[in-house]
Amino acid sequence: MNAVRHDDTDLRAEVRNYLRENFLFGEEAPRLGDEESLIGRHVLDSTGFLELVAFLESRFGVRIEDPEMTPENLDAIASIATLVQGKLAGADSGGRADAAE
Amino acid sequence: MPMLTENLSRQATERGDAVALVDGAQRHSYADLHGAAAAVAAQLGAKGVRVGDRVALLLDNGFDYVAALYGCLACGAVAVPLNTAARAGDLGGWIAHADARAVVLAPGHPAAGELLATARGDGRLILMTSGADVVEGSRLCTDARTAYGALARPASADAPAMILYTSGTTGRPKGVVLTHRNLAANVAAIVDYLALGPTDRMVTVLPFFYSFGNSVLHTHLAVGAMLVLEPNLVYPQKVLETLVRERATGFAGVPSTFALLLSRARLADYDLSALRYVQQAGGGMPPALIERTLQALPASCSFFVMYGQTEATARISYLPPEHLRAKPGSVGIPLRGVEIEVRREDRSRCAALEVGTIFVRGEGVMAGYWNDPGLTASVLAGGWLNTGDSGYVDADGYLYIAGRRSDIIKTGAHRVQPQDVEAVIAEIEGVEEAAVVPVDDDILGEVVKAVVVLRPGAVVTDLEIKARCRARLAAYKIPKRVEFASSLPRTSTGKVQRHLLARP
Repeated sequence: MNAVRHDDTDLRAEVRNYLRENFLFGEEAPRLGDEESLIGRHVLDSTGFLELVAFLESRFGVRIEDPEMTPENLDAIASIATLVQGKLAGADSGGRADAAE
Repeated sequence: MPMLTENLSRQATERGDAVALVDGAQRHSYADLHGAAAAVAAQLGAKGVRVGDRVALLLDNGFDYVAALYGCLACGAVAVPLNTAARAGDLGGWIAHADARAVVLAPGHPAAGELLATARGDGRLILMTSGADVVEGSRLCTDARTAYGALARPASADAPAMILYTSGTTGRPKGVVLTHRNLAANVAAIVDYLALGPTDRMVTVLPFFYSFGNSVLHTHLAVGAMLVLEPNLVYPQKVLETLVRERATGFAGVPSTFALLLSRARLADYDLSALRYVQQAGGGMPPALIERTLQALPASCSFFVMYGQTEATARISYLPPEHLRAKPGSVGIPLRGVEIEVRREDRSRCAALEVGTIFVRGEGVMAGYWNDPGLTASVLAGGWLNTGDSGYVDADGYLYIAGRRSDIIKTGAHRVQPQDVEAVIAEIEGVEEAAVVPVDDDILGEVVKAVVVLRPGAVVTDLEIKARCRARLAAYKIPKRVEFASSLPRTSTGKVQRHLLARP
């Protein structure tokens, strides 16, 4: 399987880059900590979150289910990276299981 | 007619232990809220706030906001709730325009530092902070331990009670002045048609600094109902879980609220059987979205389409739910005590189905715009308010909105004056001029688009334009799209033809 590998650092950088391009417009991204609340820092609002989820789904080929739309999963760059990484890892093992059948 | 402060005092007397507000993990009773409001009134008075002084509130929805607001009303001050999403420039502009005597703010607000510095330099501006004692003695005391009597009835029902700003301060600030009578009359009429009572439990995501949220707050407190505050709609599941957990009987939203809920959640998975009424206002909701919402709600739930304007306190008309399908697209009939006339340009009344300008009269119609008699005279005459909206009334007396109000862009729950955004873009080096227009959006109804003309040879990127807007404007005012053009289309008199730019 030739799935693109993403380590945590890559994922965080990519999410940060997306936020900078689309919501911060180049200005504040270096000052936004990985653990900081995107809502608390007024980076995203309710529709901004929908755009972020759409980006994650299309960029990484994962599906974020409605019940996963929680602050624990999505309110900071670090937690977003963890969520996506978990899904990519799950997809990998799912792929191996399929292949074994 | 009971004033808002009297409504709260009555509920505190009759059901002091009943829950008035659920704010996160905290459940505040009517007695607590009443005591806190009385404490705020006493504090404001002790600090030198006098009857008629303006008190700006920069607080998100929460117990402190409600206590501060009712505290202002009780001591005769004029509450000026400010949009907490606004940047320091607009906030400072509103505070100056209202000539506020005091500001109540949350120290954690991004603009707090700048406002604190201004207040310290001003010397006259009284500062009160919620939750923390940032400046000695500034902490707003809302945990009332002292027994207070009933909140005072205002000396005059026609005195100003609130000022709601409906535009930024780059152009001409519009501060809608609402009197105690305006608020009391509109609240009474809304309570009447929604049949609100003390067993109602309303979950609200609407900010109280806007007219719709303001009316949701006062109508429910007036009857001793419970208000459950949800900070936003970022996580639709959390809002739905709250509706289930609290066995909510009521919910309120603008069209984008319902579009967001339906886009990321299956309402059928949640037990919403206690829901009795759902209110929609804040702009036309497409009939198809209404139908999808109805399909997702329990059949026993009534869906109220409503029409209003800040200048009319909040509500002007509502569509009785039983006529929702018979009158698709209608915003219904006038509230009790409200008259509606659709007029031609020569001020004569339109015939049924004839489109004209919508005028309204009634006790909810504002006193005027703060400190701007010219602007007031342009919309108020003989007790009639020119809404600026166009529409028509059918043969049965049902109102339909047919055209937009001036150039205002309605994006989600927000209103954007194009001039506020254009002024910021025009300051960018290399920009010749800019026009800001709405484009349609599935979720938000409309989003902001900027069409920018650059000076010959200038290089300015769309990212630079958005960055400047982000630095100066509330997030919802930042253009989602930026297009560049060699010139703007104009009429023979030189006016920009925005409608030609508004196409997607």
